[in-house]
Amino acid sequence: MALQPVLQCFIVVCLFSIVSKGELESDASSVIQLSHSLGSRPFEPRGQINVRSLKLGSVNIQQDSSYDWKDYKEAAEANEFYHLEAFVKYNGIERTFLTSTKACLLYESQLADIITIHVDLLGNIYGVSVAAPHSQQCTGTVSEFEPNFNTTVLISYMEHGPVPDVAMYVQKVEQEKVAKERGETKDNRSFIAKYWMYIVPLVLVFMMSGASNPDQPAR
Amino acid sequence: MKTFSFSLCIVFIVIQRIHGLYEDQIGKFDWRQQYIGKVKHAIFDSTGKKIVVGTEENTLALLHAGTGKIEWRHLLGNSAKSKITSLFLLGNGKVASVSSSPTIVRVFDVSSGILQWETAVAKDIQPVVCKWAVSKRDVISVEINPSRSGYDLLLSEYSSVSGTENVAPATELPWFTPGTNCQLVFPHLVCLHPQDDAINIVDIRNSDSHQRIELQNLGITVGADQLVTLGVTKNFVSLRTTDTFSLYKVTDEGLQRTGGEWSGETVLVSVPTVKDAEAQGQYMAALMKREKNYSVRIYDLEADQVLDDVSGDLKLPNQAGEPDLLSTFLMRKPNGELSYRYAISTTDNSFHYGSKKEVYWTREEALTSIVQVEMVDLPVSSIEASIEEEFGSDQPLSGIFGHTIRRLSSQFRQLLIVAQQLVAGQISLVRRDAAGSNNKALERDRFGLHKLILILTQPGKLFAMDTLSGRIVWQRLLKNVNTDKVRLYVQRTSIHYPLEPQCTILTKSSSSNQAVLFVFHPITGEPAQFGSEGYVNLDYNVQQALLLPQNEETEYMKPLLLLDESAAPHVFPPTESAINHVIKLSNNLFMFVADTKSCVLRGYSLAKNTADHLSSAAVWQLQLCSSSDSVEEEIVSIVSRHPEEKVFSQGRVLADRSVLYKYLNPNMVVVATAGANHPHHRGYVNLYLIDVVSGAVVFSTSHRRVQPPYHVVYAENWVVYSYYNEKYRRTELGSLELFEGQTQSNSTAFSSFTAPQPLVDRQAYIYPAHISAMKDTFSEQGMTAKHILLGLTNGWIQELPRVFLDPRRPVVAAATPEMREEGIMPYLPELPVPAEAIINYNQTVSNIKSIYVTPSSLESTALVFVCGSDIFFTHVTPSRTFDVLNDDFEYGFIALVLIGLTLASFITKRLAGKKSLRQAWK
Repeated sequence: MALQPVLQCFIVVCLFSIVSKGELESDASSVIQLSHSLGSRPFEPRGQINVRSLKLGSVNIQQDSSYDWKDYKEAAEANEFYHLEAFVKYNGIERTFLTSTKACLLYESQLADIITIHVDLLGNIYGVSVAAPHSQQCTGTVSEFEPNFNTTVLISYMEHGPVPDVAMYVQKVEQEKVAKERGETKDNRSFIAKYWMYIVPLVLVFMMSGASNPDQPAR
Repeated sequence: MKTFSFSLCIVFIVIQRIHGLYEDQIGKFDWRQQYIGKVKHAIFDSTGKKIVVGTEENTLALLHAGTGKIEWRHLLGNSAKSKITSLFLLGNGKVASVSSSPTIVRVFDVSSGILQWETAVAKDIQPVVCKWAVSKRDVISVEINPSRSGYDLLLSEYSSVSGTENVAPATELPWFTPGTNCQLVFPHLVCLHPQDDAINIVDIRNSDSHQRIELQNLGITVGADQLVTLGVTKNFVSLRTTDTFSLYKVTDEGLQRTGGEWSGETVLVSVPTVKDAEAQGQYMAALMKREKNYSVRIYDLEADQVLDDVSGDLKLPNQAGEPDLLSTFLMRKPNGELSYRYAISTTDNSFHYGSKKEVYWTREEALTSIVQVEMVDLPVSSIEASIEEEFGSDQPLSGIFGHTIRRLSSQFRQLLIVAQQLVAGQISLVRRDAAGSNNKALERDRFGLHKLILILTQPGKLFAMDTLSGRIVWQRLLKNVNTDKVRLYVQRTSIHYPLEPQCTILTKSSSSNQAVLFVFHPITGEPAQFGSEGYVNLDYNVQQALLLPQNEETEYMKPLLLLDESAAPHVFPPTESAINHVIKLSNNLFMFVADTKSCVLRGYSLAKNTADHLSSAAVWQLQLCSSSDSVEEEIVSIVSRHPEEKVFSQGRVLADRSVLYKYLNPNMVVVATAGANHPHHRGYVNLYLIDVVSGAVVFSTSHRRVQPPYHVVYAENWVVYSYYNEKYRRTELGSLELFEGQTQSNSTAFSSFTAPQPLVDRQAYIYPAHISAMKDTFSEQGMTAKHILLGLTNGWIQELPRVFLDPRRPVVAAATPEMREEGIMPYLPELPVPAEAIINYNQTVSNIKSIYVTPSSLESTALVFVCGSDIFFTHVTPSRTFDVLNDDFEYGFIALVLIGLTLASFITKRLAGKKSLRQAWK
């Protein structure tokens, strides 16, 4: 297997939730050791992600693809999995996560993968997952490429659950009340919706008279 | 504007609301059965016509001895740990019950069931020993508490009339050691330490009266590894070694042996309630076990002999377990003969009442601890079966001649069946009434409303119930299994005539840790042709099982995929066609295993190893909970979509005629983890939406300062969950809905590996009641609106339309025309609980634990089975019965109108003909 050691430094910070990063209760720096394998081959080290601060989301990644272009091609053709094992160390806690994607998707995207680090509100890392950009279809026609990972690291924060919005509702009711007292209720219904009770009898009367009219000339 | 929006709201409510039941529909398709739980205490009253029972479900009830019906019933709180620990009949027509955790003493009037008084016994420290007894006037409690110098005995007396407490000063017990088994035989406390060879007896009113009696002096020789166990029956204590049994009366002088030689085969003893008060305490009843047969023996203690003519054999029903509670009643017949009645509770949680001759009635109390429910289709009727045979594929005769013979013979058979049914009265020419439908044969009806409910219970007893009447069709007790974990799978339904339907139960062996399968026929309850009498012992321990959604082609069996501890997959049944089916699918088969305590979730992919061998490989692993030990976080629920659920519409049409596509990920599950004792926000619940094929976390959210109970419902593209908000002290419902957006990434197939990131709408609502169970309704084709069934702690079951929980209900903009056009109501933070939405009207279902829903063949109707202390069955029609005629549809009238119209058209035709003829002549 021809190794092509390539050191790549790639910093991507992305927050993919609406929650501001300040919501995290405790910040931690963390080192995530990555090792990977194609299909049933043994795991080989891929590199590491240094998370300087989970809260700020500053991340850098050093990695090299230990496999050759052909290995990816073979795995893609055999419809094998690409496994990624992440050994995470933070705050003295050690956890091992495993994640996989189809090798053909990775091969087709020319090793452009997305690694997501999942963090809960207490600052625990509870998962690391790898995925290929979802536009891939696994059709299998790719020309030869340099086996360098082009990795995007995302940190996915947990969100606060919804809360019943009583205050907004009460405010809305109050506003409507005030507006009504002032007599400012703007009726934005359409003309027909507003005056249907007058229009319907009118139309009916017209129809009745119209229906009786044609008879007369017939006599 | 406000009035308009309100009136709009009302209009919507009127539109969405299912109509409540009409009065004449009561009991038409619903039924309820009331239960009490496993009987732990049973006492006959002095007439022998009533039995007072206390159960493990913390229920106190009075049963009518003649019928077994509940006269009255009290559910004394339903926390998991509390149960009735002692039950006494007081002299003055009252009954005293003592419930544990929290300890509460209650006294009821026996005949009316009215509570006389109750008192909570609050304790700072848990006593080492706490025993209860009654004297003539008082309820007495004896506690042994650790003190500075050793152990103290505390005696409290509660007046049976008023409940006033009278505590005697604590006295020291110098001889007491922890681990001692003490029994209270008022006024004596009899104690035996398992390692000791002597019994300690003390009069609780006089601590100086302590006596120590060597077991040898009682005639009991104890071997080195033999244990003596101490039991108590009214005012007797019993000592049991492995092969001997002896009974003693407790007196001031010590223990006095009674009843002479008791055989070691004695299982249970009871002091019978005797009808005439003078003979009270003169007799003793014992249940003996000889090989597999039980017999009841009556002893006359005064004459010290066995009354052989009174004693008799016990004939319990076939599927009953081992007796573990005996209560007896003795009465003298008019001719002077003694006869007995017994009440026996068995290990299958059933409760039997009978006499020497027979068992009069049995209560199946296992139905209060239901583990799983499946509603299965009944087989086709015999007429349809003969049609099936006629058009079946494998025909020996062919050609015109063969077909004619087959047709004639089949029609002759059908004629015979109709004649038989006419004779048996199964077909009535007049309209069938409700009573007539109860004894209908077990065959499929046109609308799939008649099914069989398979009920799997915690003690390992299996029931099949008829949905029309709630009658138990058959029952079966699983033998030699440990039913702590047990699942039921329907492998083949009865659609595949002439193949028989088949169900499988997965559980563990009672002797080892290995898995056992029990295969049976769901309609008859007979074991299938597998293993020994349907039991298949597997030589591995199963950690996960998966019933494949599609059946294989030759035997129409859905294969059961079992993952053993080393994650090696196995297929059941191990037939060639099933294995080939799994191998064919293996590229797309994934399984996941979750450890609820450590919160580790691991996903496996399956692959074929060799030509006919499967293997699995781990593909993902997550660890959800906090690793801090002080925060006790664990998985509280894992919910996936129902495998038979169909989604009718792929998206929602917005007001601007664009489509918002639903995120319909069939591989997504909802995992809820809950933590307690967090330093900042005490209880919290985290919800994870996880794709279990790729291991990707689709969405996660967290609520802080919340308390259990947590319930999660997940269907189509939405999740609804409930929790108790500790801050505002109310139950709230959270609602999430997932959309792909305005474009659909792949309209033909869904792949978890290339799944798009969904948009998540969310909203929360206040629910003004406490929820104890939650479930969504679903229909065969998914066209019918979705409702959520909420089982409430007050025994109601509410049917709440899902549109009320739509997260897109707008808060700020008050019902814009767009929203109105789409049919979305403006946001109201509090959800209504209208009385018409309570599907069980006045039939309160106590202690609701779970709700099961099965669709019928009618698109509009779903069958609902609710269980708890009671069981309740009904139909729900979330979009009303749009596909059937009303019950009160006038068939006669419409026929009359049709005939009238036809006649009128003929007459007018004639008249018109005449008129035109006359005009032609003009």
